[in-house]
Amino acid sequence: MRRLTNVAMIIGAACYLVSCSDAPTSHLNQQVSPTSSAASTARMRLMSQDEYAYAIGDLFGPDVEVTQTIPRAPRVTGLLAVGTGVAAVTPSMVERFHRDSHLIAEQVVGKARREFLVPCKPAGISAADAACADKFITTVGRRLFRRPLSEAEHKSMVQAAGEGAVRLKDFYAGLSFTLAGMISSPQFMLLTETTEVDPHNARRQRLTGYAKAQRLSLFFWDSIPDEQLLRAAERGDLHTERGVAQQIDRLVNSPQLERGVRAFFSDMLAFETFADVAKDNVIYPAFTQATVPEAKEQALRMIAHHLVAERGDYRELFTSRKTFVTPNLAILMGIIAPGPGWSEYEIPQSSQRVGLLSQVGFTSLYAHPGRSSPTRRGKAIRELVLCQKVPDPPANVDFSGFEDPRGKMNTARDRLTAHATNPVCAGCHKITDPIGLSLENFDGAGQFRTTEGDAAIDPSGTLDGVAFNTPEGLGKALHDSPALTSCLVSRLYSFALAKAPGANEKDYLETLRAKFAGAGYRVPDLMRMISNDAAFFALAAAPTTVAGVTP
Amino acid sequence: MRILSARRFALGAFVPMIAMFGSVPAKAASVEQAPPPNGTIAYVVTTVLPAVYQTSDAKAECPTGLNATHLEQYEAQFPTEEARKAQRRDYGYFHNRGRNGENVHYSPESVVDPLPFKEAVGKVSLGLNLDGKVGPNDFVSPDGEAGVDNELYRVLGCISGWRDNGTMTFQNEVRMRDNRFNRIIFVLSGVDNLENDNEVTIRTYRGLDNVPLDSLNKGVPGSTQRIDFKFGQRYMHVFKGKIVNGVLTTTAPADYVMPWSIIGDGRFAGDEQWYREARLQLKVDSRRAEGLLAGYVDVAGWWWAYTKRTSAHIGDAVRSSPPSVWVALKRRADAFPDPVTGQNTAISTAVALKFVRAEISNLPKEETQHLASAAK
Repeated sequence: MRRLTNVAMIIGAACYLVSCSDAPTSHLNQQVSPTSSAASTARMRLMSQDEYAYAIGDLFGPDVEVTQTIPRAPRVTGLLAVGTGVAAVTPSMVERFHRDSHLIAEQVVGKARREFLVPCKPAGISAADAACADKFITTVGRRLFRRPLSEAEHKSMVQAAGEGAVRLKDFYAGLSFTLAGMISSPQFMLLTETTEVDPHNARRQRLTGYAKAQRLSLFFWDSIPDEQLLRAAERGDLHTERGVAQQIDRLVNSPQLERGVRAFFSDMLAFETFADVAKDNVIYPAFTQATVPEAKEQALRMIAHHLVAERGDYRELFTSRKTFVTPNLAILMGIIAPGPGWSEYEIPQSSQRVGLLSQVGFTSLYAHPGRSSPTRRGKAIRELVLCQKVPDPPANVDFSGFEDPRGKMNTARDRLTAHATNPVCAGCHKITDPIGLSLENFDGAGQFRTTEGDAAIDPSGTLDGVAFNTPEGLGKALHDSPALTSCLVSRLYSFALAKAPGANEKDYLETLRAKFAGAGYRVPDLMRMISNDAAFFALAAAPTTVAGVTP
Repeated sequence: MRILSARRFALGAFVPMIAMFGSVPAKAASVEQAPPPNGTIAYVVTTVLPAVYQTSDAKAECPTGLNATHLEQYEAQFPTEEARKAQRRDYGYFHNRGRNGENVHYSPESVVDPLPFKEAVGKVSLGLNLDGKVGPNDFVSPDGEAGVDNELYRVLGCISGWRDNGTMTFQNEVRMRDNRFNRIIFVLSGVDNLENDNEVTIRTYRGLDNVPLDSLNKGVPGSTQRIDFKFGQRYMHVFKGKIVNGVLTTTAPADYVMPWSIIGDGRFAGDEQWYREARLQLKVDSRRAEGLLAGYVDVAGWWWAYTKRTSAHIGDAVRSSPPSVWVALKRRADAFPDPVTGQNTAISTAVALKFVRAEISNLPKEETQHLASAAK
């Protein structure tokens, strides 16, 4: 077993390094002329943690425990989805993929699940059964690899399952070995898009139907294609407008749409940084490590409920009074929890906790461990919500005035006002602080307050010339800001195509934004528009390449 | 020299609290003493510990040392290896060392322990004056209050399992907090002022929800609790009390049943302590409450819960011998004599409690009736 395992690992690692060539019609990275100013390249990237977990859950059931932790990709032009394209796979990661794939495979073919996850029974449990192994590998392999297995792949896997069964004197152990190999293989872990010659223009390439199916399912479901999508690809439906529209219609109306929306907003709002959140226990005893995942989940539930379940206007996410609470969050919110688990909660009109940005998630994430941070909050809103870049601070920032105990600076506003007297600092703080200060009614743990120490908090602020004096006012100003929706369009488009929009795509994005407005700013409709446009599958132009010569 | 022990016991905070009684002048209400909204404030228990006064070397209260353990009594009863082999051959476990192999947890009078039982001595003990008298056998509190009644302390004070870091102390602390069966809730109503109020009502309940803990394992104030109206009826009691200088005391004793599932899961180990003429003395503020519950606990009920929990799987972890404890319990029982036999059926005692403020999601009508009248 060990020898087999080691061999599989070596082969696996080698495949990651050179890219296995078993995939049919693989013409990765061949360049074509543009079909539109808005287009992308065929790509190959590592699965995200969520995509991996959803894929395994969709295929084998949500009760299969997934221990795999895939490292975060770098954030590029505001999105991890763009950064995954430049992520590297290290040998130690391959080793971990391999180990965890065995843990999954053992669950799948274990006694508790084999009855319904393995579609046949072997003739004898302690011997090889090529027919049964073939049936399992064919079915599962197609889903895992998002395409039919090649003959060579198929043959080698059935052979490996048989060899394992003989050596280990256990049919299911052999099958487990093979399944682990599939799960840890580049064909599964790397989301590879294959291309083929466009039959309508022999000089151009297009994504294969399977690559289109994968692109659609990742965008809408954050997971691998289901059988219907694969069949549509097989039939060639995804090369027709009608076929694509039919599938999009199915995807956008499925319960799994929520996963796609969650994936996008997790990425857009940089929620991966919740993993780094810790609060000072003395200052914020009610904010424990149990609170962190719930704070993140609260934001995602609010987003998913408003945008997917209610098909709400995206702008109203920032003025909504409908949220979700747990008993832990209720403590921070100063309310009585409606129930023991997650409960829907209508924020009363008397409360200033309005909209996504005043919930525990955003206010605690963009704060210090022991203090709120108008600057961090303002910067996050500018960069993540409005797509406006805030320059990095200079290396020689002087905080002495900010922290001077003689300065009688009782509130964050006092401290930041003193800090901003330094002209080097003032430039950026003028961009961030007038927004962030309006959330000062929420401390670093997201608890509402009216004073900081004994000093009253002044939550007034401005956003691009619009003045307000409450957190609710900030939400309304964001709601009315044109930058809010244009940022979302840009980010969602970028997320869908895993690339930053180019300068030549400005008009396309503006058209998209206008259509988004016409659709009442409903995000599922925007997803439909993006994926239904030819640009979604179009391959961008690049300098002509000559075999063996890098331009 | 004395340490404020009993597992950090509330004593650390409680002794200074006792020192406050009657000695701290009234002051302006702080933020923590602000009157609760609508005159009602609820607390949920986070710690329940036996009120066992201890000194660092135990010499003051246990001058001849701590008690022999169950195994030591067993070995004294069967002093040779041959005798022990015969006992094990005939009756299996060492607990079955009654004259006819009885389990001495359930038949504590089936054998007389050969080694003497050591009661706690001295004049100092935690607890409250339950009978309003200062008798010759009464204790003095660590801060000099006379007339403290706590005879159970004499029984438990020299048993290592009931002292600091002992098994029972640990179980009391952890299980009372972690086991939902024990979710004790006190609701104070009619509170105009948390610093001084001459009439408040204290209603006790059992809750249904976990208490969130901070990273230091302390309860977090403000969590939501649901009152268990279905299976928690027997834990509903009413006390009348008053608040003086931030200390709540009951003005009239009342009977009280306290859930006391100290080992195992409350689903199968749901035991209780039955208090008669219970009294409270709690320092209260808008975030926490802590202090003493004292009263006469029913001996049979206490023994049943205690022996049931210690008879089976935990061996000699409590470090005490049931026959000796039982005899001492009966000897020291000091109230509610049986009308037929004259044997006292209850023993004076106290437990130290710590609470954090809770929000009740299903507050019953009686807690809010005064709100309606106040609104008028």
